[in-house]
Amino acid sequence: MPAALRGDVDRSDSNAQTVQHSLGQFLASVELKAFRIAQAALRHEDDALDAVQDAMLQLARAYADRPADQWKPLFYRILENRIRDLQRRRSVRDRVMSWLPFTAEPDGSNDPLATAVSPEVPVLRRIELDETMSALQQALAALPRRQQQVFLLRTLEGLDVAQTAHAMGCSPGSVKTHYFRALRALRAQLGDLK
Amino acid sequence: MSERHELAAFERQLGELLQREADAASGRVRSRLNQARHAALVEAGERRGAWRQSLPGRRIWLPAAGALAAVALLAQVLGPRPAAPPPPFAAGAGVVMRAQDMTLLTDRDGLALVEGGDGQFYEWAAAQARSAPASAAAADDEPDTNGG
Repeated sequence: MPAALRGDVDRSDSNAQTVQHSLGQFLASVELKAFRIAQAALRHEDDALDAVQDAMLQLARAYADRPADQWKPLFYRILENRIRDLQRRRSVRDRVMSWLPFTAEPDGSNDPLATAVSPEVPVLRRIELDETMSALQQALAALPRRQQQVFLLRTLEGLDVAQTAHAMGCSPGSVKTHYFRALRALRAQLGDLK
Repeated sequence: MSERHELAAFERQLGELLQREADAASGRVRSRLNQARHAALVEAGERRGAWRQSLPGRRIWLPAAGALAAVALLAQVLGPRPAAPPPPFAAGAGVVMRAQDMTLLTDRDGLALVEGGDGQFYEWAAAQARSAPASAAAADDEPDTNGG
């Protein structure tokens, strides 16, 4: 192989490793938030994990070569589409299951890992968090879906208006409207948080 | 405090709460997310690796191959065309030659001549040619018995 060509391949290898490293860091930084956003929309842990996994794979497969600053809106756009697909599929499945004379046991219900909590959070604080989060989750669940997703993308993930609009596939004006309505509705339901 | 400020404070509180909750994910969730991330990275690595294996140094070779193909196509389209072969049985000398060829090929006697199938005939003919002058001379020497 000519030296010039070998140099090109070496640079390509180095570049690929850099991209892979950056992608790994990016995915690690968004995965928990993405999971929470998916879980708020789907209200099912395994479905939320599936949605996040699909979004990660799709991003790595199709958009890894894009500049890193485009990854976040692209990732959440993919996740949003995946959540919508899963919701559609679930509504069909629920309609079918409602005709059957039995209900399926949820997967992993006896899995000790499923109930394990992070050791980083003290137990008492965890209880407080559980109560507050339970109220917040109920309030979030009561929001219209787009208000809920806009709110979580802005508040939890920290996307700006333009990035949220790209991720949601709507205009910046819609993002502002959804966000403000969500905030007011949550404030009305939750009052002052402690 | 105005409603705007209250909302901003509330927004900050919600953000902190949601962040804390996200960080407090269960071991199962963390494990699944970790697996998903590694699967995605493997996918990205394989995709890039597959490209490199299928076409080493594609940054150089792909444009070069494309340029070469374009030049070849242009040469084919714009270059001098070779003289077309004469059409079979066209008017002119070719017709005569080809007609003769056909006659030779279809003439059974001609083929027998080439193959030597009628050798006896030619031997006989040659013997006749040799004997004919001698018999003619003998006939000339013979006395005229008819008084001529």
